[in-house]
Amino acid sequence: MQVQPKYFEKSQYIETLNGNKVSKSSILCGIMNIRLHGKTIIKPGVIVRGDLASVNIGRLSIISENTVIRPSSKKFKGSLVYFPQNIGDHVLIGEGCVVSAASIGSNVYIGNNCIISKRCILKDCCIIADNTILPPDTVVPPFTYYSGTPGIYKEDLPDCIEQFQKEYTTSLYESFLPNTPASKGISTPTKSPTAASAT
Amino acid sequence: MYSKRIENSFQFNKDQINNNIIKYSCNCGKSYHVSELYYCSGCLKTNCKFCITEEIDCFYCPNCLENVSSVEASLNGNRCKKCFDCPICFNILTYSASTNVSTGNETFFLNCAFCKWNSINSGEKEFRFDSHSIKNSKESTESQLQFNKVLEVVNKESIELTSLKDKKTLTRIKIAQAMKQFLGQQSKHQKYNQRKNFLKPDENQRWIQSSTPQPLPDNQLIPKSLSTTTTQSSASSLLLTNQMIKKSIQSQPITTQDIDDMQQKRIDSRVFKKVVNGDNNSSSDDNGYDDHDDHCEQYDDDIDLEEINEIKDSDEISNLMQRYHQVSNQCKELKGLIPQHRQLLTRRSKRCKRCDRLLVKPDINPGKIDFKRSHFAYTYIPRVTISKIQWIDQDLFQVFLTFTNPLHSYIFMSFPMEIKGSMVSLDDNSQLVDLYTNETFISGLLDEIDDNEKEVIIDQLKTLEEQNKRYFTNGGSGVNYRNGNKLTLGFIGKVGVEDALFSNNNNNTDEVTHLIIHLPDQLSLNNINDNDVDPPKFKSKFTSIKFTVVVEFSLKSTTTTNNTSGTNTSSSELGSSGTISESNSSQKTLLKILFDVPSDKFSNTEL
Repeated sequence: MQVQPKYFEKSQYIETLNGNKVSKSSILCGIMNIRLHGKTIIKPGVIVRGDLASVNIGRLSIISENTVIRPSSKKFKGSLVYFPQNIGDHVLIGEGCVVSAASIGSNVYIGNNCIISKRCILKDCCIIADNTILPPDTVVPPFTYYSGTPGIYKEDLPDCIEQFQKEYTTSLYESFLPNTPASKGISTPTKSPTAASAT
Repeated sequence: MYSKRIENSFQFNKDQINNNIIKYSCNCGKSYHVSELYYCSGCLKTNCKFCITEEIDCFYCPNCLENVSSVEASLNGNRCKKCFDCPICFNILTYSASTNVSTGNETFFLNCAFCKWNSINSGEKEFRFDSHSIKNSKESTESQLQFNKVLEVVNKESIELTSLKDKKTLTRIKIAQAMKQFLGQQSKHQKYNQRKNFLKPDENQRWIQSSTPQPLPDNQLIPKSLSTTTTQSSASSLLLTNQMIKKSIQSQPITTQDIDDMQQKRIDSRVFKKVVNGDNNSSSDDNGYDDHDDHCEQYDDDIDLEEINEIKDSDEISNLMQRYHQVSNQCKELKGLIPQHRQLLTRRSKRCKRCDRLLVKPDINPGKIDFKRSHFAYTYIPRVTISKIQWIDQDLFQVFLTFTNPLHSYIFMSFPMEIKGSMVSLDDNSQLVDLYTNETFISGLLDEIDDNEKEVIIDQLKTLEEQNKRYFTNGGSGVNYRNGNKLTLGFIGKVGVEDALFSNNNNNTDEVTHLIIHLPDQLSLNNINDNDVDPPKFKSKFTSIKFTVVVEFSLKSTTTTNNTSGTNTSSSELGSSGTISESNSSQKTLLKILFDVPSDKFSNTEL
């Protein structure tokens, strides 16, 4: 089945010049530290903790409802040090996740209700199944499927997962359409409508 | 040959309902989601997982992402030297140090960040990589030692055998290699021979979708060489010489009686025996079995039954998975579990089974995702998605298929009216009755035409397109039916399959003609127009509608300048024009696409 178009209320989203679509009911803390590389969708209820450390999110990545993106930390000499967090291109993060990985590669799929604990490293082309809990410091190698509590290696992925994931996220982005040409009267500046998130 | 719908082999594809709707048939008749197939450009056919041979290119540790040479991997039992799994939850253990404040000494220990298991609490004072306990525990058990010896002998023998090449040795090579494959990983220089001589391994064993080597089997049929052969010194170190085979057959021929016995024993073993201290004979008499009981005594579980009764908290007993992870001692208490080295993963290259062409060659750097060669079906054959499917009458449905061309150049495709083999799959309950009979094209990603001839053909096809507007439609969604490298076509299908399609196909080589029922034009026109009004709802006869579409595609057009090819009437004409059509047809790839659409995916099913 083709991805069915999903319509959103235009007044509820901020669209930037390079195609980022950020919901106004998402919370982006420390907007100066958050860098979206374009064509990224951030859905309602998402919290991105840019105030802790800088967060980079690649092209054509989608962060679904009620997910928390939180840079990871480590104790150094008694004080907490936060690491910058990198999320690659074509990454799909499901609903209700807590993501505090140190880095996430490209073409990664994270299912719904996952917990990616501190300092995890997700390489390119891997899949975390729904309801998985990855313990701290886990490394997920490319072309693997992790699931369970704690998330452990289950099986390999098809070799063409890179192309598949690219196609999938692109089609999701393209089918995420504004509802109607909304009344361009007064846009309600609820939460920092300045597109500082864009580069 | 009939195609069959097979459950996708990857969990990832099983999870996504979408990936179970459309499946591509491999040449062997099994059909999978397109991401699980490969495309061999030599034979212009798709390869499923049963139609490829795999070779291990490299081993790597999933945690430290370090390459491990095959020698080192087999030395360590396909496990990483540095990384450990938690014995309780199988999470990776971290190696940490704690300093004693009073003495200033550092203690190293393994720690699980998930379940808080650590090596100090489990009894070990300190954990170091040179610790003897880990080394000793590796090959401690009797069965493992014996197993290693057998493996060694078989290895040695198969190396010797590969130098000889007469008919007798060939079978021995096969046996030896089968044995090796069964017992463990092959060494690198054996790969080539293994591929040539041993193309049909036990499929069930080989194709389990994980790259960790299989757990070591505990099998009676593995030659228990050493107990019998060691008496005969060095000459008998060959297990598979003719004499040895004869001898073993003569001394202990495996008869059906033996097999029956074995099965009976298995059944018997499910009944728990009474624990009788001391006297073994009485118990064996009661159960009526013989020979093995002499040295096979009671079951482990019976022995420490007392011990188990003592346990107050059921949390102290290890579960099955935990025991399987330590085959050597299979401790029944959590306390006794020890961390295991993490199993290595592999990168594998894949070859076509038909022509031995290399299909996939991954980068050996485990952190990289590049391929040196990547013939995935996903990037070579036109991909199909259903953009819309709806009922237009009782038992009649219209389906809009979007074809995506993943290639850079134009591809030409047609829906053949007759093919060798079958047009339907075994479990089809519907069929398409109204297909576009002419050839059509999809532009590539680059969208440029490189020669004039192609341009002429495309113009011709476009005029044909104008005459057959009803196929070229996007279901009224407003988007053009040609959109970049995508093309949407609308076809009409009918629930129920003509019996003729099935009965015709007793002989696999029979040519089967696809039956086409042309619908009255008013009907198809009507339903295109009534998109904006609320469409009537229909009840579906089946919970899911299954039908098959046969597509032929090639990079060259079969349309000749005289503008008549493709239709039913001109098919004979094409055949007479000889060489051209033949060479063209050899360039074509036939795809069978199997649809299995749940009825709730229809836009107007009455539920």
